[in-house]
Amino acid sequence: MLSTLRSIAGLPLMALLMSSYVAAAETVTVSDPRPVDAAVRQLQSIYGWPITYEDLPVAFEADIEDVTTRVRKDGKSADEPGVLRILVARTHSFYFMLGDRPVLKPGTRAPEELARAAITEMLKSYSESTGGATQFALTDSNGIFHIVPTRGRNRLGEPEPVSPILDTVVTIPPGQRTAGELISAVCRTVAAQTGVRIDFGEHGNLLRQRITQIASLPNESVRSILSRLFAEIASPQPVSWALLYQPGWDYTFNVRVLWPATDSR
Amino acid sequence: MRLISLAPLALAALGGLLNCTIAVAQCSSPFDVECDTYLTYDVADNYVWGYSYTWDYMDEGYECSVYAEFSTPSGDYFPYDPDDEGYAEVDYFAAGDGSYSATADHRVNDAPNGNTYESATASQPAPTGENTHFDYWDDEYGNFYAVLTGSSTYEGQSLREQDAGGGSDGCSFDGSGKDPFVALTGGTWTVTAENDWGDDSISYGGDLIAYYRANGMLPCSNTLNQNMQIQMSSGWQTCQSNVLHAGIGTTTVSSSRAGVYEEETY
Repeated sequence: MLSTLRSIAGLPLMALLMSSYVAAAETVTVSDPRPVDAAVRQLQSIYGWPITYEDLPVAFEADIEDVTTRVRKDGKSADEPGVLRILVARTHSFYFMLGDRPVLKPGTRAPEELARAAITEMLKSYSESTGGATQFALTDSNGIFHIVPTRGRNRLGEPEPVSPILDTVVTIPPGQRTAGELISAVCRTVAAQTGVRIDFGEHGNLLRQRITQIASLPNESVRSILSRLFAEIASPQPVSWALLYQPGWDYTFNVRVLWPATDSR
Repeated sequence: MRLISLAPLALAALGGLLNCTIAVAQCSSPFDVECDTYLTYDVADNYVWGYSYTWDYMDEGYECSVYAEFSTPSGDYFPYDPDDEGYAEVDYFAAGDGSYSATADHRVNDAPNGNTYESATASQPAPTGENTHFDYWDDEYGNFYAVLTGSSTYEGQSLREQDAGGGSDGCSFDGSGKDPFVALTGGTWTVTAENDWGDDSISYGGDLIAYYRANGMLPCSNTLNQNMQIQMSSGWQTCQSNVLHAGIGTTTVSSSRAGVYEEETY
């Protein structure tokens, strides 16, 4: 859930009309079980850059909420034997400042430094909102920004460094595959190496149609392999991913297409 | 452009069909005789054709005879005599609307003697829509194909899907690790000789189906809004808007496109 509190700076009208940016000071408030991911989705649409997101694993009980009774449609409660409990991360809120908001034509991106500054400010604000207990870092490759978890709370609630799942080095043999088949192979390989389950939310024609020859390079991480793939399939729409963690179910790899808001919709 | 050999010629032609305007012939002949060139664009069958007439010196003087005829867009054209002097250039016509031309360069004894020029401007109408048909199941994916409707054929032209926004997902819930399935990823296809295209694959995919079953979300389905666009010479044009659904039951899955619904045990 995102809300925006905007206070337009007192600029002369002509300056606003002639500028390619709306000069404004915005306070963006985010309230979500995955607040950084919610902010990422907002920043993607504002700046036109694909931004991938890898979730923090949630282990501390106070950070977890049981929503079984509220969510299940079959009326079963968490207390019934054999019923799978549905656990989600507790909602967390934070806010961050947005600088210049670009006015983009469909299919274009804001200058890189503008997007980078906004993401960096968002991550800094998030970290401050948790007292530094949970943190993310910003990296980039192949024209894609990556939000990577670096610090989270363990089962006792103590902050500790996090080993990002997508930093896992894997070997993917050469071959011709669809993009979806390559992602599936990567997910399976990571699961076999780490014991962490990764579902793949494939449900689109894009990944079933695009053919790729991408295989792993020596000592290449999953993030690097996927980054090359997503740069390859990015035309005409930019594509990003979100690796989301859910307590009790591990990870899901989600693919997101950045549809331009004004492109024949 | 394709180069074909023609004798000193004047081009004549046959009449126009739908949506076709024939320019007035501009002909320069070394023999001060009338010559005409015609092209026509056959909208119904989506090709351009024409006839070339040449003036040949025969026993008793120059005579006009049908010398070449050509037909596109496949690039094929019909017989010509490579031994004759002169040549003509004929556009390779792509499918779709546009401006097409043939140029005949008169030559006598290898010397240029003038040109004839003729063009036809044709407008290919966009499809008026499409009719959806179910094709087959590929595991949990329902695959559909559609036949384009309209007065033209569109073989070889590109189609793409665009997400039209406004999708909804009755299976997802807040906090889930699965993104709501509310938008298309964007497929592309090429129209076949039968004026159809496919497959359009619709499903949540196996991992999500297992997940929503395990979490007691059944029965559930989503709604997606799809704009089908075809590439015309003027750019991408939306020719059909569809509503799509993927559904999950306890022991079944379903796929639906433009009101065509199929279900299987899965």
